[in-house]
Amino acid sequence: MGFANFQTALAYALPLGIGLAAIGSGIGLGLTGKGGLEAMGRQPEAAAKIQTAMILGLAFSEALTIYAFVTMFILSGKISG
Amino acid sequence: MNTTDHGAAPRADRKGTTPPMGFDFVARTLRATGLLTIVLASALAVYAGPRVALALVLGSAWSLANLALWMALVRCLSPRGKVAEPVRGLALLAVKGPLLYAAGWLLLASGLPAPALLFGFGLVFAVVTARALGLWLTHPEWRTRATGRALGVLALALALGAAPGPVRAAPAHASHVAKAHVAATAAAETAAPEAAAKQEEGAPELPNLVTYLRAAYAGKTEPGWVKFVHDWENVLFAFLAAVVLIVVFGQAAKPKRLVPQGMQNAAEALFGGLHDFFLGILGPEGKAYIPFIASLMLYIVTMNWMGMIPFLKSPNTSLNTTFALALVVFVYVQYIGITKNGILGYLHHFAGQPKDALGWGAAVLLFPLEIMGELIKPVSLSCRLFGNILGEDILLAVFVGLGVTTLKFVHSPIGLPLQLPFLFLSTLFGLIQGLVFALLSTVYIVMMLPHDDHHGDHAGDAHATASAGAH
Repeated sequence: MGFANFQTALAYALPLGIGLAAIGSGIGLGLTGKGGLEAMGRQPEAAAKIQTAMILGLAFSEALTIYAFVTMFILSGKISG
Repeated sequence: MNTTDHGAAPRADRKGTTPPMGFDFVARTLRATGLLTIVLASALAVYAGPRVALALVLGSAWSLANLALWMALVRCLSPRGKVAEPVRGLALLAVKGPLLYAAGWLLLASGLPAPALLFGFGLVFAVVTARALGLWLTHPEWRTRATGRALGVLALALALGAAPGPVRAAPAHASHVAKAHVAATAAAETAAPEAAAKQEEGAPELPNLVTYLRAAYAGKTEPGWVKFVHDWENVLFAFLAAVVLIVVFGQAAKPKRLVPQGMQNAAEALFGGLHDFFLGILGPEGKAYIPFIASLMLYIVTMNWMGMIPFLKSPNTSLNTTFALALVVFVYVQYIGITKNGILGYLHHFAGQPKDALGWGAAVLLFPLEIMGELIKPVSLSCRLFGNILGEDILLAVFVGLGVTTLKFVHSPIGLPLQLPFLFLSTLFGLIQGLVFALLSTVYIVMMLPHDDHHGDHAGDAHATASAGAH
């Protein structure tokens, strides 16, 4: 019985965790993109440099959701098991 | 001058022997397909039973009749040096068209093994594509934009059609498929337990060559080499990516023309772009690292895109591959740090580059943090690539499965290509993830370089104060 509860909790928690991570990551990505585009609009001659830094920032923000995703994959086998 | 003469002579020579496009081509295709059908059918009759062979022959015959009809129609409407006969052509269309399609429908409804039938239908297209590809490769004057585009469209259609087919043994209806097509092809028959095994793992996955290989041996004892291939599939696919890159770029680098053409041109443009992009980040003294970073990026992008090609698998869907790549970057960065800074300078870097007493005091705290930060880099690098590519491939597999499920009720062996929009997304993501991996490696190298590290620190400080002021 205890084990079944654990599995139920896991089945609810994994998608929820991804969703929460995606919310945070999405806010971060949006802010990064906003900042980058504003900077590029203000200084088009520096667009290449800003773009590089922006992609790096995007990669770091997005990585957080990916960590949640990887965690989900590590744990998802235990839902049915 | 010499090179132009050299290039022009064989081209002029070849023009004389160019096969004329048109009826000749179609007639030869018909003959080749007929021969191929006979050979394949006799092989299938032995290995898969007479029903499968019969289905192949009927399917191929229908397809050939279709092509012959079209050829007759075109001949009626626009003959060479003869009078057009539109009435006869329309009569042909009116009489033979419905008859042909009714025959096709009857074939499909006859209960013959559907995969073999459809294979027979597709045989003529395969022959046409192969012939066109051969002509395109051997006759430069055929390499017009139109033929290139047509080949591209055909390749895309083949890729889209071939990808969903295998997944009809997807978990949801594995048993159903197994029941319905017991006498079907070996792959379909035996993919069911494979799919069931996949279901236990949780994530849907597109089947690849190795999956088929194992499916062919399902229920029997696997020979040693099949087990070996399965255990090492990621490594083997990674090797394949490397071999493809080596062959393509080796070919591109071979001519060494002063004015590049074709492949050499494309490769030079690609490498020129990568060179300028990474040099902008590394600074002028970073030129020595560009070959490493550019090869890393091309290798990763190639491996990412392999997941979209039917029968192949992206090795980056395994954490082992991506961690190996990140480990290579990690070791290389440490090597650069030690050789460029000296061992003391290297340790000084990890202590946060203290200059005064306060700095040395802080170094006690900073040193473990910097070490942790350095060790976490390969982990984050590999997890990012792994998660992105795995997620993308699962997305494709889910939509392929969906496309297969929508056509399940008509027992269609191929599904709707619902994954089409996500193929474009995957192309973009594969490129961006390769770029991000290479970009982060570049940044790690820059942070290790003695001069730029100081510079970077300074800029970081300025940035920190600026953002603090903004808040």
